[in-house]
Amino acid sequence: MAEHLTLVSLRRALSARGSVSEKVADDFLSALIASIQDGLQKDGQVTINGLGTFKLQEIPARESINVATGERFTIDGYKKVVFVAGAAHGNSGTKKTEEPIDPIQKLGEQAEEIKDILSELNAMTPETPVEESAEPMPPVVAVAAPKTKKPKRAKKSKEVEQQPEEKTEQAAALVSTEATEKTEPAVAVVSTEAAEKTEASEKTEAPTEDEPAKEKPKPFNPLLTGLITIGVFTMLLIIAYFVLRHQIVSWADGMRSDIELRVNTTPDESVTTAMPEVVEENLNAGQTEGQNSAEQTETNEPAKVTEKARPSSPYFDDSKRKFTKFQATETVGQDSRLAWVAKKHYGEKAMWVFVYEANRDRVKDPNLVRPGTKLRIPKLPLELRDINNPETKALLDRLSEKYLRE
Amino acid sequence: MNNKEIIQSVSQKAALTKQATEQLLHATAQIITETLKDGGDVKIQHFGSLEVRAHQARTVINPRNGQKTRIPAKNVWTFKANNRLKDAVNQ
Repeated sequence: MAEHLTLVSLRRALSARGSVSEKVADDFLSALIASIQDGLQKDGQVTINGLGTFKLQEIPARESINVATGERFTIDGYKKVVFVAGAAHGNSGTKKTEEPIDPIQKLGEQAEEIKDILSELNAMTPETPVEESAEPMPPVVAVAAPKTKKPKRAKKSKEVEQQPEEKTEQAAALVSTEATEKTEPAVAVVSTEAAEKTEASEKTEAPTEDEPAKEKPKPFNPLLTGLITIGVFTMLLIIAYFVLRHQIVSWADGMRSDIELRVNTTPDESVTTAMPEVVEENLNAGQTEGQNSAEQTETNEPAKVTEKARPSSPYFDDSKRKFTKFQATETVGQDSRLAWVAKKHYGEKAMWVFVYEANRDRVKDPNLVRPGTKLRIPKLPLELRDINNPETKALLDRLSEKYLRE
Repeated sequence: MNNKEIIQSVSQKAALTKQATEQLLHATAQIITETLKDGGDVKIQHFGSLEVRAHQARTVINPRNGQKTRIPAKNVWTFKANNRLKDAVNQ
């Protein structure tokens, strides 16, 4: 063979091998190229037996950077034609001449099998062996002759392949269908018998194909619904658990802050007389609420109480807020600011106001903290620590405005 | 498009019988295969080129279990589409 096979040399070789004129070969090749192109455009895949498969591969658009200018631009996506060699050509260079003979060999083997089975069945078929032993010998004729019948068989075997469990049935079906196809012209007796067999085997095949299709949806439905209901119930339980927990936690926080407040205010000089009453009310409210939640009555009342109790949390009232617990002390360095200290300890710059509040005796101007000043960092209650709480936000805004104006 | 469909399409376009088309297609596949096996390459105008590329043996690691597997050296067929085919496909 030529080192480089071009269209011209291919045409020449083809006309020699196929014993057709070069014109016919040329027509054929151009039609083949056009057909492959059409096929690729139509469904993106063209398979040629004995050669391989041409496929379209989608290459998506991607972004790239112009190295010279640093500019970003997109490279358009496109379709690439890739070729996958047929199974026989997996190691194309090393394997030799397996693939063209392969189908014929298969046919020959199958013919042998059929022969055996048939001879077992009627023990007197003198003509079929002659017919079939002749078949596998001439390669081109053998391929051409059964080809017209091939599709049927191919479909059959595909169908059968889908059910690997029933291999015995599969074999029987294959053999019998082939038997009918091949013996039809030769022996009438054999063909009728074989035809009966195929009918029988097809009957056996048909129900087996239908059964899984019918059975599948049935066992799945109750299982699925059961799973879904279980999932929904667990979700509900989890949600209920968290809601309850949240209520209890918020109630507990309210209690704690109340107690802290009380401790703060009692030694504090003169704050007001109304304050203790408020605290006691809160405490009472908290206790009743606690009892309620302890009894696990899921009525709306405790929820409402907590909702009302939270806004009335004394920490949002400037006059009542007093920090007694401190989590740390911080010595202010050069060029430091309250906001940075707050960011460091609370993760939020806006909370500098609390630091300022807790250190009003040491810091005169919130914008000017002298280096070396020891700042006490107050421990913030939960309701103040939550920056996402709108009330906290409002308080922070209000306080910062107020202190900056001073 | 499978083999059967392409035979039908070609037989219509070239005004050949299906049997003749099939024989010619088979012969074409054989010629191409033989050429490639003999170390040659195939360059078909308006279509593309087929050639054999040697892939060296390499070791791959299964990321699941870290197992090392040796993939032996092999020759693979590569196809490079001609510009015309590329354009036709990317219309």
